[in-house]
Amino acid sequence: MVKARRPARPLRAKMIRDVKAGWKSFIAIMLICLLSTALFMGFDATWRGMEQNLQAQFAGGNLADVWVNGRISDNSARKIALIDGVESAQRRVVIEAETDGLPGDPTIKLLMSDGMPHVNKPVVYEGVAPEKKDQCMLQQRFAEAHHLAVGDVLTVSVGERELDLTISGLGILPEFVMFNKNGESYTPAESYGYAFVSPETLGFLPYSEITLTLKPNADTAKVVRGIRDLLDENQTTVTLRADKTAVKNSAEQVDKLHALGLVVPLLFFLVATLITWTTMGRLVENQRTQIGSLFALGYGRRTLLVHYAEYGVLIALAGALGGIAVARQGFAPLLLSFLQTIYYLPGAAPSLHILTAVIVALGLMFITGGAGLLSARNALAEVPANLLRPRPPKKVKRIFLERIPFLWRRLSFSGKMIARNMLRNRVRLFMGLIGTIGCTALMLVGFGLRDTMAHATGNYYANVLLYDARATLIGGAPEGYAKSVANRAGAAGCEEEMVTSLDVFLDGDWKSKQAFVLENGQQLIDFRDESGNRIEPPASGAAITRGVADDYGLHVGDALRLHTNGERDAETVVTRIIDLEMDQGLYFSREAWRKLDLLPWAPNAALLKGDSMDLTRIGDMDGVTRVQTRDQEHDDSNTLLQTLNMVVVLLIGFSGSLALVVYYNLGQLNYSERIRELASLKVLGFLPREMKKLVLRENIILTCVGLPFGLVAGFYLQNLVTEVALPSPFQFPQHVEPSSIALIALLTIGFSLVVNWILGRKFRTIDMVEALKSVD
Amino acid sequence: MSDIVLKDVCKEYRIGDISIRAVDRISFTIQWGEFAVILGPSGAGKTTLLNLLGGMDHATSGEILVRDRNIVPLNDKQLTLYRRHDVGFVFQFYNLMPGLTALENVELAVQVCKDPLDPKEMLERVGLKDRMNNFPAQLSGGEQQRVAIARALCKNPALLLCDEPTGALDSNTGRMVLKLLQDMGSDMGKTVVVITHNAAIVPAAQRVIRMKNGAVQEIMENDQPVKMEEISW
Repeated sequence: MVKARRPARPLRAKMIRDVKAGWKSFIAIMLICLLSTALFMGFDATWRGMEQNLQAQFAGGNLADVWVNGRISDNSARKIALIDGVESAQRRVVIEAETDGLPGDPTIKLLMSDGMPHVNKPVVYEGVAPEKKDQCMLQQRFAEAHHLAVGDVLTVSVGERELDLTISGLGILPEFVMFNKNGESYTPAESYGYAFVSPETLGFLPYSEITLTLKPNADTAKVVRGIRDLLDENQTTVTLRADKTAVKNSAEQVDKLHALGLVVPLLFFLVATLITWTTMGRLVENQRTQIGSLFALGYGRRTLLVHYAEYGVLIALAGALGGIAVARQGFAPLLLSFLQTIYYLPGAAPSLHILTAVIVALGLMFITGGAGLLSARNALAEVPANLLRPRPPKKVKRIFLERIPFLWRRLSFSGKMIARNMLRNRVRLFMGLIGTIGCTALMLVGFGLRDTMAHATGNYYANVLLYDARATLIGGAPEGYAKSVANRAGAAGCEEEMVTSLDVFLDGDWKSKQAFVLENGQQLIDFRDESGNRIEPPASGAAITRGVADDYGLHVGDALRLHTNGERDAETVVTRIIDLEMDQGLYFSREAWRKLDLLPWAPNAALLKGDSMDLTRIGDMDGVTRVQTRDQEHDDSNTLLQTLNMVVVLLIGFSGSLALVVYYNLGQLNYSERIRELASLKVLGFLPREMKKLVLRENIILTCVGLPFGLVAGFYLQNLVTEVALPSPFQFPQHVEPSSIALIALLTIGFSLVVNWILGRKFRTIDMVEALKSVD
Repeated sequence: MSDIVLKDVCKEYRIGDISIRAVDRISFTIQWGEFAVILGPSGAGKTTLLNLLGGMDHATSGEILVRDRNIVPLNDKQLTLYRRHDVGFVFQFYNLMPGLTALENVELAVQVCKDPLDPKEMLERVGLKDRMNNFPAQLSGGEQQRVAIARALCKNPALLLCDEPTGALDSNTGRMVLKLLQDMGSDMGKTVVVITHNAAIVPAAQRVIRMKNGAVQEIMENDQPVKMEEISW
C-alpha cells in the first residue's frame, strides 16, 4: 500500500474558501498593496523612462560635453580639438530669427554647424537631415503647433535677410530637452521653436559657439583650463554639460522623481502592513477553534504557520501584479505626460524595471506573509485543548484618562465606552490615525500643488505685472521707437524693458542668467521683498530674485562678477532680494545698468498700459515682433496648470481609496471583533441608532483627531513636493486656499461617514441568536 | 393580572427545501411572578422557545401573550422596545462588555430604560459591592454571572429569562447563582424563566415545563417549592 503524503490539499481548499468568505478584507488588503505598488512602480517607471529617453537622445545626438560661447576665431575650433582629452570640436552659428507668416509671429532659434554636424547632431524623427542649402530640420513640437510638415517652406528673417527654408525633416536637438525663451520660465511651443539648418545656409554670419565632446576619462578641469588659455577668458564663456540649464534641469528632475518615488509610497506600505496585520490577526482569531481542530487532527505547527503565511503572500502577489499594471498603464503615462509639457521627451514610455518590480512584490509578500505568520504564531502558541475552549474575556486595563478623574467624570457614558475601546486597541487606533493622516496629507498635496500654482501665476499676472500688454521689439530699435508704438496703440503709459542674458560668476564658474533692465522709477512691475514691502531695482547694484539667491546662497551685500557675450565685464553687489514667482534672474534699474557699463541700453520690449488700446494697429509694425496681452501671457502659463489638475485628480483618487479602504477595514474589524457586544446591546433593547452612537462614533472621532495632523503633515509634504516637482525657473511660495482645506476636511469626514453608513446598515441584520449562541 | 400565555406557537427554519420545526405547536401558561423552569435534553427546542418569548426571534405562527399583548406580530423596532422595557436576559456565557467594568456594564443597560433601578444598589444586592470597579476579565465565572443578573434586573423588567445560567459554572457556584435568581425573583416580584437540562433544580421551581423534540411533554405545578440551598445535586 502507498503511504499518504502529508495532506496539503485540504488546506489549500480551505484557503480558497477562506478567501471567498472573507473577500472584502482580501480585497481591502489587496487594494492597499495595489496602490502602494502602483505608486512606487509608477514613479520608478517614470524616472527610468525619462532617464532612458534622455540618454537615448543625448547619445543619438552625440551631445557635447562642453560649450564655448563668445567670439570664435577661424582656427580656434581646430586648436581646441587638439587639446589633450578633447575628442572632437565643431563650430556653430546660433542666432534668433523672426518667422514670417505664422500666427503670433513666433521667434525661432537657428543653428548651423561648420560642415555636417558631428557634435550636437539633430535627431530626425520624420524625413531626413538637412543637407542641401536652405534646408532645415524643424523642431517637431514647433512643427506640430503650427501644422508644418516635411516639404513645407518656412520663411524667416535674419537681420535684413529673408530666407526660405525647406523643411527636410522633423526632429529634435537633444540639448534642448527643455526649451524656453531667454528670460521666460515656460514658453509654449507656439511662440518659440528651433531649426537646424544645412551647412552654408547661414554662411553670412560669424560663428558664435564651439561645441566639443571629450574622450572617456578626460580630465575636464584640464580641458577647460586649456580652452581658457587658448581664448581670451573675458570674451568667452565655457559651460559644462552638467551646467547647461536644460540638461541640468532634466537630470535634476529624474533625481527628484526618484526621491519622491521612495518617500510617497512609504505611507502606503506602512498602511498595508498595519491592515494586513490586523486583518490576518482577526482571520486567525476567528479560526481559533478551527486551528484547534486541525491541531487535534495532528497537523503540525509549521504546516499551519505556512498555511496562514501563504494567505498573506497570495494577497500581496495579487496586489503587486495589479499595481504593476496600474503603474505601467495608468500612473506612469500620466506622470510622463505632465513632464512632457515641460520637457521634450519624444516617444518616452514608462520603463518597467523587472528587478525592482520583483523586489517590490517580494517585499510586499514578505510584509503580508510575515503579518499572517506572526498573528498565526500567537494563536498557535496555545495548546490545542485551550483553542477548543471558548476564549476568556479580553484583559482590559484602565486607560490613562481614568487616572484623571476630573476629566473622566465629565465624559458621558458612551464617551467612556468609546474612549476605552479606542485606547485599548492600539493597532486599530494607529491604523485609523495613519489612514486619516495619509489621506488628508495626500489630498493636501494635490490641492496644494494646484492652489500654489494657480495662486503664484495668478498673483504674478494680476498683481506683479501691472502692464496690459507687452510688445516685443526687434533688438536695436531706435531711441523713442517704444514711444511711437505706445502712441499708435493708444496706450496711456509705456515703459521700456531690456532682457538680455548675462554671465555671472557663481560657485566658481560662469553661469548664464537672465538680466532684466527696467526704467528708473518704473511703475509697471510691482516688486516685493520677503515681507511684502514694495521695492525697486536700486540706482546701483543688482536686485536678484529669491530663486537665484537660494540656489547660490547669495545675500544682500555679496559681490557679483558679471560679463556679457565676451565683450566686457563688471563687478557689482547684491542690493535687494526680490520675491518673484517667475522669471528668476537679475534686475537692474537703467541707472544701475549704465553704471555697470556692460552693454548699451537697447530695449527689446515695450510694456504698455491703457484701458482702450488697439493692439492690432501695432502688430504689423516693422520693429514689433510680437504683441501679447497680459491675459494671453497668463493663458500660456495655464497650460501647465491644466496638466497639473490631472495629477490632482489622481492624488485625490489615491488618497480617497486609501481612506475608504482603511476606514472600511477598521469598521469591519470593529464590527466583527465586537459582534457579541453588538448582539448583547441589541438584546438589551438598544435601537440600531443607539448602537451606532456607541460603536461607530469611534471612526468619526478618529477621523477628526487625525485630520489636523494630516493637514500639518500634508502642508510639509506639499512644500517638499512643490520644491521637488517644479523646475527651477519657478519660485512658487506655498499657498493653500482655505476652501481647499475645508473641502479636504469634508471629503475625509465624508469618507468616514460613508463607511459608517455602510456598516450601520449591518447593525439591523445582526442575528442575536446566532451571534450569542456560538462561543467564538 | 394576566399571565404569560403561549398558544400553538411554532417556529420553523427553512434550509433549502427542508423545513425544520424547532418549536412545534407549544401552548402553556406561566403565572405572573412564578419561578418557572423549562427542562429538556439538548436539541429539545428550549433555547428557541426562550428566544421567541424574549423577542429575539420571530415565531412562525401562534400567539405569545405577555400582559395581554401578543408579541408575535411585532416588527423589529417594537420587539427592540419590548426587550428594552419588559425583558431581562441572562446567558450561559454572561455576554458582558469586556471593555466596561462591572458597574458600567450594569449602567449600560439602564442607559435606555424608562424606570431603572440603581446600578450600585443592585450590584450590592448580588453581593458584588467590592468588585464593582473590576473588569469582566478580573472576575470569576460566578461573579460575571452575578453581574449579568444585576444587569438584567436593573432594567426593572417584568420578565427575567435565563438560558442555562449555570451551564459554565461549577455546581456550588451554579447553585448560588440559582439561589440568587430565585430570591431576587420572589423579593422583587419578577417572573423568572430558567432553561436547564439539569433536573436537580426541579423541586425549587413553581412550574416545570418538560420539552422534547420541540414539543411540550409535561407541565408540572408545584405549590411548595423548596429553597435552592436545600437541593442536593
